[in-house]
Amino acid sequence: MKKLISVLFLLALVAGLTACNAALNGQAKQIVTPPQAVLADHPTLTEQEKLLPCFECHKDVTPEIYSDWYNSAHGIANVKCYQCHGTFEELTKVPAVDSCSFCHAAEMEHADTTPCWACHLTHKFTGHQK
Amino acid sequence: MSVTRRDFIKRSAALTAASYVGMNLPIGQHNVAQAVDADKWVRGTCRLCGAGCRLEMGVKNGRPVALRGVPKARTNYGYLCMKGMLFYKIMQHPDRLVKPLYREKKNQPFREVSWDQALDIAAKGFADSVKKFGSDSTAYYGSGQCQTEETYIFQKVMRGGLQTNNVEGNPRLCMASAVGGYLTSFGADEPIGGYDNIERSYCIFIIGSNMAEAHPVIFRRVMRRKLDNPDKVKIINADPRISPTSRIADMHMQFRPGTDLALMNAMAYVILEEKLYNQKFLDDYCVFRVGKDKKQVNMAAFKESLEKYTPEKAARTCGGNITAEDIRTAARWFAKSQGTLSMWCMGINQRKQGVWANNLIHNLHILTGQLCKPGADSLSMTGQPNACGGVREGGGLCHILPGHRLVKKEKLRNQVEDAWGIPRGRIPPKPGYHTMAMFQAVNEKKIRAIWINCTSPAQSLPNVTPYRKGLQSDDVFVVCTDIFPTKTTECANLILPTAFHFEKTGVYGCTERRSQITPKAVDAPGEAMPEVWIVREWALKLAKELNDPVIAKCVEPFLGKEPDCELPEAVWDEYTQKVTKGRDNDLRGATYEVLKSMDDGVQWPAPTKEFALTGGTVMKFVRGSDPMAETLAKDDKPYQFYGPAHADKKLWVWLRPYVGADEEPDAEYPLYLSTGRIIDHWHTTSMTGRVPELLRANPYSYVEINPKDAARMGVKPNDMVEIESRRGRVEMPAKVVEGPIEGMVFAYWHDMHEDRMINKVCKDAYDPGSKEPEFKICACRVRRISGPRALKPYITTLNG
Repeated sequence: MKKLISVLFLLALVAGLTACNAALNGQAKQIVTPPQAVLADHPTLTEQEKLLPCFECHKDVTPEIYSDWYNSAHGIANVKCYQCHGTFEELTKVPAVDSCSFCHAAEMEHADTTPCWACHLTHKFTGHQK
Repeated sequence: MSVTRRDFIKRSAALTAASYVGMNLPIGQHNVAQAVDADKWVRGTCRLCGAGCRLEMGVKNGRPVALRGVPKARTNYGYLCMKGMLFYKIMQHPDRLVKPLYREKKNQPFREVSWDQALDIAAKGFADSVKKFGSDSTAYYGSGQCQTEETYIFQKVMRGGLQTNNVEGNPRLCMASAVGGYLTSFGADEPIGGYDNIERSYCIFIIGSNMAEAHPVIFRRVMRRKLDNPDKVKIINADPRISPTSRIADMHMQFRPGTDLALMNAMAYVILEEKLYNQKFLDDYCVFRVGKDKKQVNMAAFKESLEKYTPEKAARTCGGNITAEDIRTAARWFAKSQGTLSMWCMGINQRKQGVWANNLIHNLHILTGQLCKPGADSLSMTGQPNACGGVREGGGLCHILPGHRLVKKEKLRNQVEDAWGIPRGRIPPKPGYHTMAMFQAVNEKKIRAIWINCTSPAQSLPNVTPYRKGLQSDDVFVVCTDIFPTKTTECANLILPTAFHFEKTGVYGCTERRSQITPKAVDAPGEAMPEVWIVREWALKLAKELNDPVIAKCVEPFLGKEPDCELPEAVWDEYTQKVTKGRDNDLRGATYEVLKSMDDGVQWPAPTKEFALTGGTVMKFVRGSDPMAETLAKDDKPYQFYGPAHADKKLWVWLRPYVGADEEPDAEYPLYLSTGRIIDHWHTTSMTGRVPELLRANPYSYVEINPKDAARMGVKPNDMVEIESRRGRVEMPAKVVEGPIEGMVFAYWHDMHEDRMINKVCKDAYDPGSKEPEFKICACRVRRISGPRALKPYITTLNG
């Protein structure tokens, strides 16, 4: 089941990537892509349940993703799920690339029109995947 | 899914809310796509911690819609933490205070009043107190989050106008011990270097700081330095608690709370025993001193004083989790690296022996010559964005005047009086009440009128309950200036709504002597006004009430100025051009024009515009870097320690014995309690608790308990426990984790719910030198009271 979820996630991610368009705006390259709609396949959460940090469940539901994140620079530096993926009302499986620019404007200068994770391993963000 | 619905609900039980009654959680309407579509981006500084991250606020249709980092800024190089990314969301929050509010008695509801009425009430309240009880019955309690212009003008009116030095601020609670340490070791307040040393260091000694959460963006730089140079760079993390900061450490030295003085003396012992000191540096720049009379002694006496701190003895004192060899290894790494950088924060400062703990860190740097060269520095991290710039430099504490001047020195008082154009003798010679004495004086009705600006002592003071009672008394007239209701506005007679960051113009000075401007980008909501305007108008009415033209004289240079930009600039100009001239924090070159032109501001000293435009002084006291090292040179040596506090212009190595905490565990209260920050929240959550993402990330305080202690107490994860001390009790969920050392529990302090407000439990003992309270250590007992329980996040509203 875990593998199936991971595969679904990757498929969604690829779908998201193909939808990306690029544009330049102001200080840094900002790839203007409307974020995906709120996840339809995420379990519906009550207001009370939304008070639980994402990783509390995702370390079991998507352990590979959790592990990749936890051991990445983002994980060590405490860059949390909601900073890229948004909170429940705005939750996106594939974040808008613009969200990277809030911290990585300089790095995005070399990105051309390609989303960061097309080259940098998703959630690990170390090195290049090709 | 591998987590069933039932599992999910079970897991979340302890962290879920029974209801949202009283809560206000508007979800942000401005997502990323809208944010990048901003009409303009306005460059300023982060509103929250002391790192000084530069950022730009996106504005669309006159509303804030996003924040992003400034890549060229030498503080953060473009990076922001979640608080820095999201704080714009509070600016349009419906809880914002937008009208002046007043009530005569504190059990009455507030009613709206006009600004004219409000300022009349404020002036009459303070004037009545002066007439009936004298000037020292009035007080100002400010914040390391006020802009420098605000602290400066408030203290000017209080000292020069009302003739009282009852001027304090919350930096007394967080960095007064660092001030004491710098003054007594180096002869001058504030660090010699700055963040620039992170990328040049080969050994980083992090003690008493969970910087991964308290200063996340600076931690990122440290993390990057380590990850990019895993074999060349050593990280030592010394702390009673294993924290997220420990993840990058080569060595974690987990000591029993309060025993770090023994630990650092033992490192000094090794440095002497193995001759790892820098003899030439010691000969050229240093002396050894001991005692209250600062008696000079020789190195042999220093060595003798360390005899009882052999690594073996210290390892035992520290609780047995550290070996003697660990101490020797740490001392060798520290002494032998090409550049060693120490970084610390409240774990060192918030202590009964806070100044001494600071001294012992500096000792290690002085002994080894790990100062004034690339990668070497003794760097106290600052908790608040303008504790250094506004309060330490701008005269925001009871014993100091602007420009690092002591109140008690007549010559220095006269310099300030002359700069202000008021009669000599107007500033009283006696320092005012320090923070804990100030609120004790409120309790004792010695203070009858107090103005609390941009801070919430009714939540943030240690052992807070008795001080809240004092503030709640109808015998004390309380004015609060703030943007949101807090636990302190609940004690107020008069609440004045203020403009927030980016709704006014002003300067913040961060950890590394760097002043950075934030201009107005959007209008403040409702009738909220900048503090500088409020003080000016209040002073004019006060002058009439007391028939004292000198009070009016204090604000005369600022009359007729437009409040958002012209007025703060006039205040800044007076402060920098007249008051910092010739002082070690000379800021004459850092005009608004210069600051606005810089990506990241100016590090003082910066006496001229030309020099300020280079960025200022990266390394203080070093010829070629610091212009004052040339102008104040006393010989031809490359380093000139010209600080005002050391007449001999030397660095002082102090003989400081190990002394434990004020309250150690005993049979009745067998555990140490320590407290700290969590990454998603800032101080008392009056701001971050109103950002849904941040509130949800950590909706409550919880207490970390070592698994061995938890097993003994029968506490399981998420159980509700009671934490009780001799002063008070709270209850919160338990997190059973290999974090705190056995025998210690650690609670987060941001939660403002009455049941979970941990400062009710903390002790209000304070350092005899710095007067900073020992938040970090007290004795407590913990008992399980139930299994997981549904809890309710809580942010106070206007009516509590």
